[in-house]
Amino acid sequence: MIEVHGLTKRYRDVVAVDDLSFTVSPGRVTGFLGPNGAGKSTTMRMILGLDTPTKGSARVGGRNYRSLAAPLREVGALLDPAALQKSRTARAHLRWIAQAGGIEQKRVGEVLELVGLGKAGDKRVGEFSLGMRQRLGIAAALLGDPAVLMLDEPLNGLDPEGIVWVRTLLKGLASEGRTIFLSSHLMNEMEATADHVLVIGKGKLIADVSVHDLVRQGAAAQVSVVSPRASELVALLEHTEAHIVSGADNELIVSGVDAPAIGELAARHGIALHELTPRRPGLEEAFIHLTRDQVGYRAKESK
Amino acid sequence: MSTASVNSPRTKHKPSGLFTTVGSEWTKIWSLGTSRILLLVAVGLAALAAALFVLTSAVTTGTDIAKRDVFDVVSTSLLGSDAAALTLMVMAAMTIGSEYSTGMIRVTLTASPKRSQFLAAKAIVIAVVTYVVGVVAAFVAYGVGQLILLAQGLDIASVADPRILRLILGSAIMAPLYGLIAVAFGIVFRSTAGGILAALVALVIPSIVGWVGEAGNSIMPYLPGEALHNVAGLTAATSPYAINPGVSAIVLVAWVLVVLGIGQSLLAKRDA
Repeated sequence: MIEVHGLTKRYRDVVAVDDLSFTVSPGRVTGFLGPNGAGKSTTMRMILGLDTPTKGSARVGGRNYRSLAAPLREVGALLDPAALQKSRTARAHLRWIAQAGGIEQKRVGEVLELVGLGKAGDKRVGEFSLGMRQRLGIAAALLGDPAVLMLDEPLNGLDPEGIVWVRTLLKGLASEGRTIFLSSHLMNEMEATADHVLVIGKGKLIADVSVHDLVRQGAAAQVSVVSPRASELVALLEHTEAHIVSGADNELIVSGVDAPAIGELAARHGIALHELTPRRPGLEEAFIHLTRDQVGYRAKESK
Repeated sequence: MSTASVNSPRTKHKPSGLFTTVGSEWTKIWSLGTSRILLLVAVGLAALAAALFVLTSAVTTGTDIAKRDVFDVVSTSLLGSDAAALTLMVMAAMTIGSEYSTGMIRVTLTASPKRSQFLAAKAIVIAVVTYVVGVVAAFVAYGVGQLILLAQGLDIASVADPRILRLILGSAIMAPLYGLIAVAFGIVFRSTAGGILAALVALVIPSIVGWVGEAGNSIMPYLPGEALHNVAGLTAATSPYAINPGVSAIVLVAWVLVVLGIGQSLLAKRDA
């Protein structure tokens, strides 16, 4: 369990994290979403006691990270897979971390096998690809068999097989009752990985919803309609709550009304519909839909 | 939701105190390719520099080696130990500087959140490794000097002579002294170059004070360079810089604690 209350980080003239409050519950995979620069990494560093919050608090398992007696046993973290001294072997890298955390050395071999680096353990990490470094970082996070796992962009640089592996691993760990918290700036990456998402933008919490609800919210927004008399339908829809998102040839994308309402409207006026499809957008579109409501958010972001 | 098998007793755990952090830092330094190479370079350089300075001493001191006091010849050969100390100082700066440049310091401080404990462990390991290798290098430098004397059929200086032993063991203190200054300022500047630069500044301060003339005499023995000379027995009893070597030892320890304290105060309050 991770609990964040009123967490704020202010640098000279920039507010990186702005009064953030949320709880990451055990037993599920929670995604931490937001564009680059939204404050995800800063939040994670504050949770780990690396950065001091300007205001507010972050607790792991009910305690401040820096006051944990055995931090690696409570929390496994991966912030940056490139944070390695390159001339050391993978095994030696895990050995010093295990020693610092008071974890027995036989665990080093176990986690190397677990992440599929059993044969690469004695290679220098400088020779590792980004994908292998991600695996090594995950191995380091798992050393203490922690109840909370916190990973910053763990899918970056992984090949498709690696992505499936991380997903399976995280879901398995969550089903054991652990708290899994991972960040990403790619929304559709989270759709297949997370059960729940926290969306942040400009350091503020935008949404705290289950992936299921988020996708459904987005889905309710748009309907695709194909009709040979599309232009007549547009005229009729203009008297309703509907908003025509786009209309090319005979295909309309409509928001504001749902598919049954459009179907019945068309039927009352004898307009044939060749296609009537509620659009099931991915998390990506749901996210855009969600953040569009944040006044000025998009415009500021593109500066 | 199930909280079934979290923290199964699969992984045994010891509380992480200073002892475990020292073990971790020990593993770090020995598993790093660059530090292992520099430790060897330090010893090799000691031999090379000792040979160079002893063989050229007739020119540089204007006195033939045969006419010089054997103690002076040993002290000349121990310039090789200074070369080793500079190499070890660079190694010490790199152990902390590369943690900052790679970002690995965040992994370190996540595993060891008690920052004073981490710095203490780092300092202990740097002090022990640089002193032990520094002593080896000093003995090698001394040995090279003696071989040159032997080759020329001259009298040699025995390590059984307490003056010689003190000179060797005392000169080797240069490595941990500047190594720890480099570590402390490597933290202050969060870089290898910053650590090296600060240690070099500490090294040349006595020369700068020396230019001031007699006004500097009273503070000179309390600067790290001259305090080290006093401890090693390199300061002649008649020198204005001569003070009790016991006091000098305390002066050295105080310098190290002050610079480490500066490093710790910044390490404790800054974001990692």
